[in-house]
Amino acid sequence: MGNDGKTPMLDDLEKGAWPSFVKEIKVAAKKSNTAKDLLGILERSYRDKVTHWKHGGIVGVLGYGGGVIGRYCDLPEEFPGVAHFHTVRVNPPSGFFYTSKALKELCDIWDKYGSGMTNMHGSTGDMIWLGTQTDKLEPIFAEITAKGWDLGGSGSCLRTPSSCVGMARCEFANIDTMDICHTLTHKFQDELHRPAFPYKFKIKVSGCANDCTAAVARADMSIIGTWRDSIRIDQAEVKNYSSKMNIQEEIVGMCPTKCMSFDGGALKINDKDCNRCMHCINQMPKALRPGKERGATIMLGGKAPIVTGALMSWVIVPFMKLEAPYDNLEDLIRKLWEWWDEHGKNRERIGELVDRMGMRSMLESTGLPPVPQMVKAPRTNPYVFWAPGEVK
Amino acid sequence: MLHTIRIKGDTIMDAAELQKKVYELVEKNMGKKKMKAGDITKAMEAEGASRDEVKAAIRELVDGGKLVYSYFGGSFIEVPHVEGSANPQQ
Amino acid sequence: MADKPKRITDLGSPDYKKFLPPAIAKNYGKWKYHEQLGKGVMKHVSETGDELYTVRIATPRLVSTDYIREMCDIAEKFCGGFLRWTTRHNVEFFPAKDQVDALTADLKKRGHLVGGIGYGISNVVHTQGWIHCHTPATDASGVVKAVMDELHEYFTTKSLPARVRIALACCLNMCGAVHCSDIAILGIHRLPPKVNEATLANQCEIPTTIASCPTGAISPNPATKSVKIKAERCMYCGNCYTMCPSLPIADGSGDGISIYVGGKVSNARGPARMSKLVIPFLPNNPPRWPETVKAVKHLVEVYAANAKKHERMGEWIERIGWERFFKLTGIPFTYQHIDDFTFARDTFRMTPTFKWE
Repeated sequence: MGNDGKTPMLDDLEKGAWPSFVKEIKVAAKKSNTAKDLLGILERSYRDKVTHWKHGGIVGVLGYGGGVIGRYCDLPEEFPGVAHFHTVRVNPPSGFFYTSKALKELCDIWDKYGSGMTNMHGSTGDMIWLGTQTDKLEPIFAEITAKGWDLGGSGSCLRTPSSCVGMARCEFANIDTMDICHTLTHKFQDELHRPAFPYKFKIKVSGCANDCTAAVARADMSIIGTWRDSIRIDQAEVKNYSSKMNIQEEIVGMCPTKCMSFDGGALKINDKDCNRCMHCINQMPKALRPGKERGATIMLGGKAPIVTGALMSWVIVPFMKLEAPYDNLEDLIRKLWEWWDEHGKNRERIGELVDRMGMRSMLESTGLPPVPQMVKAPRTNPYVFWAPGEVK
Repeated sequence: MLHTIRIKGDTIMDAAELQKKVYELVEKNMGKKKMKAGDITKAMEAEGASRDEVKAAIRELVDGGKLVYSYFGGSFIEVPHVEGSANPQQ
Repeated sequence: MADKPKRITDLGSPDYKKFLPPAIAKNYGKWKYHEQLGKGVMKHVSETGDELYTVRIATPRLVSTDYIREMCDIAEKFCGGFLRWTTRHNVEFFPAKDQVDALTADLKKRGHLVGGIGYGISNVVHTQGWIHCHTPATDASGVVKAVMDELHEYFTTKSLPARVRIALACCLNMCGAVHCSDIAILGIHRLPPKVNEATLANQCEIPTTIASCPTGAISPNPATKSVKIKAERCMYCGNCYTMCPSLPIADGSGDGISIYVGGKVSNARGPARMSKLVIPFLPNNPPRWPETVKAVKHLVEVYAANAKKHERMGEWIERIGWERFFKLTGIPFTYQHIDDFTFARDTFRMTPTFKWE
C-alpha cells in the first residue's frame, strides 16, 4: 500500500460545522514533518481500523519519573517523522487562565522541538504536547523551566491536580479552588515528579456540589465545596424570577428534600432539611446564594474501571474548613498516602485498597472518626469484625 | 550528597553504600521483576535504612542517571536500557 | 562542577494570579450572581457592582500551535490578551460590555462556534484514540467530530431540557473517565491480545508480562519461549500490550463502540451517578461512524421529546423506568446489558413493581 501521502478519509473530516482537528493537523504539517506523518499514519489507522502506536516506558527528563509519555509507531520506515512520537505534559496554571504572551512563548518552544500539535487540555488537565523525539526532551525541559513552567505528572505519581474556575468567576464557590489546587501542586512537587506510589493518585477541586471538574468520578481525592449554615435569600429577586419561571414547579417541586415552599410572594426554606444539592441556587443565582460558613467535603476513591470496576468517590470528611495554607488538608493527604504505601499492591488505587482492607483500617491510620455521613446506611450483614481489646 | 552514617545493630552503612545496595537490587532483578520505589524501600528498610534515606538514595541514583524511572502501566525503577518498543528491528 | 548550568526543577504550576484578567483579579471571591445572555455569552456581577462578560467558543481539543496563536490574537484584540480554557475544551474571552457584539461577530466570521453555555450540549470531553494511544479500540477525535457535526446546533442555538454531557473514551481504561456522563461513547475490544511468538522472546520480559495481567490470564509457554493467554479470563485492558509490544490487542473487526447513558457528576436534585450500558456494540466505521452518530442523535432526540425541564437524562430514565426507556428508544435488551462483573448484584431489581404499558 505504502505511504502515498493521500488522506481521503481524513479529508472528509475537514467538512462539517464542528471545528476540525484534521484542519489543525494540516496546519501543523505545513511546518513539521512529524505532523505530516501523523496525518499519514492516522489515515492508515482509519483504513486498518487499528492503532499504529506502541508504548514506550523509558523516556523522560533526567531525575523525573513523570511528565513524558513514550510512544513509537509500528511503521517507522513508512512514517519516519513519527517513529518516535513522545508526549510532553506541561502543568497548566490553576483554572486554565492564560495570557497571550505566555501562551505564545510556549507555542514557540513547541514549534521548535515538536509536531506543533497539542491538546488543550488532556483528561487530567495538563497541557499536552503531542509528538517529539527523545533527544528533544532535555532542551524542551530547559526552555520551559526557564520561562517558569514545569512538567505535569504521569505514572505512579501524584497527577497534576486540577480545579474549577472557583472564586475567579463563580459565585457558587465555597472554597478557593484555584488556590487550593496551586498550593497542593507546590506542596507535593516531589510526589508529582518522582513516582513512589503503588499507582496514580489524582486530586480535583470543585467549588460546589455541581462538581464542574467531575472530581467525584475522576479523582482519587475529590474536594468539593459546601456550606453548613443557611442559604441566603433575596426575596425581591425571588419575586423577579417568579415572572420568568414557575417557581412552584421548577424549584419547590424539584427540591429533593422538599424543604421549600412558595406562596407566590416569599420563598421559605427549612434549612435544617436542605441537603445543599445546588438545584435552587443554580436556577435562581440572583436570589439564592450559599451560606457563609463554607468549607469542603473530602471524598476518596474515584477512578476509572481498571482493575475492579469504576468507582465514585465516597465521603471521608463531611466538612473541612479550608483556608490557606491548607495544612489540615496536606496532613490528611500525607497520612492517606502513608497508609496506601504501607498496604497497597502494585497498581492498586487507594479506593480499591479501601475495598480490600476496609474503611476501618484507613480511618484508624488517618485518625478520622467514623461518622454517619460516610454511609448511605449502616451495614445490614451481621458478620461484624471486632478488634482485639474491643471485647471485654 | 548525604554522608550520614547509620548504625543499627551491627550494620554500618553510609549513603554511598546504601546507593550501591539499591543499585545492585535493581540490577539483580532486571528482566525478572520490575522494581517499584516501594519494593526498594521495603527491601532496604529490612537492611536497616530509613524510608527517607532510601528515598534520598533513589533520588541520587536517578539524578545521576545511573537508574531511570520507567512507566509500564505503573512506575518502576530500572537500569537504563533500550526498550522493546523503541527497537523496530525486533 | 561549575561547567554545567544548574537544571531548574520542581517549579510546579506557574502562579495563576499573573494570568487573571484585571476585572477578575479585582473581584476574585466577590462574585454575586450571573446571567446567561445567550448560548455563548454570560455576565457575572460582583458585589462591587463590576460586571464581567464571558464569550465561549468550541475548540476541537486537538489543536495546532497556530490555533492557539489565533486565540491569543483574538484575546489581544478584544480583551487585553487574557483568555481561558474550560474543563470541556472550550475557550473563553472576557470582553468589555461594549465589545461583546464585536467579538462575537469576529469569532463567527472566523468560523468559530459560539455557544456551549446552559441547557444543551457543550464540548465533548475525549481521549486520544488513534492519534496517539497504544490501546484504543476506536478513534476519539474523529468520532467526536462526526457526532458533533450532526449535533452542533445544540451547542450554538438549540436548547434541551437540561445539560447533556457527552464524553468519549477510546478504551475501557477510560483515561477520560466517562463513566458519569449523560452519554458516554466508549471504545471496546472484544478479543484478547494476539501472541506474536516470533518477536516476543526478544522484545518482552516474560515474568513482567505475566505480572502485568490484572486477572492472571497470562502464563508462560516454555515450548515457544513465549506466553499463553487464557481467553475467558481476559477483560481487554491492554495492559499486557503496554508491557510487551508483541501482544497487540487491537483488531479491526473485533473493536468498536459501546454507549452508556444516564450518568452525571452534579449533585443537583440527586446524587452524582454512573452511566449505564444501553448499546453494547457498534462497529468502527471511519471516517464518520454513521451507526454511532445515528445512535447518539437518536438518544438525544428521544430524551428531548420526553424529559421534563431540568431533568438530566438519568433522572428522566429513572422516572420513566428502564423498561420504558428501551421501548421508547427501540434499543434491544440483551445478555450484555446484565452485569456479571464485580458489582453485578447491586444492579439487579428486587421488587415486583413495574410500569407496564
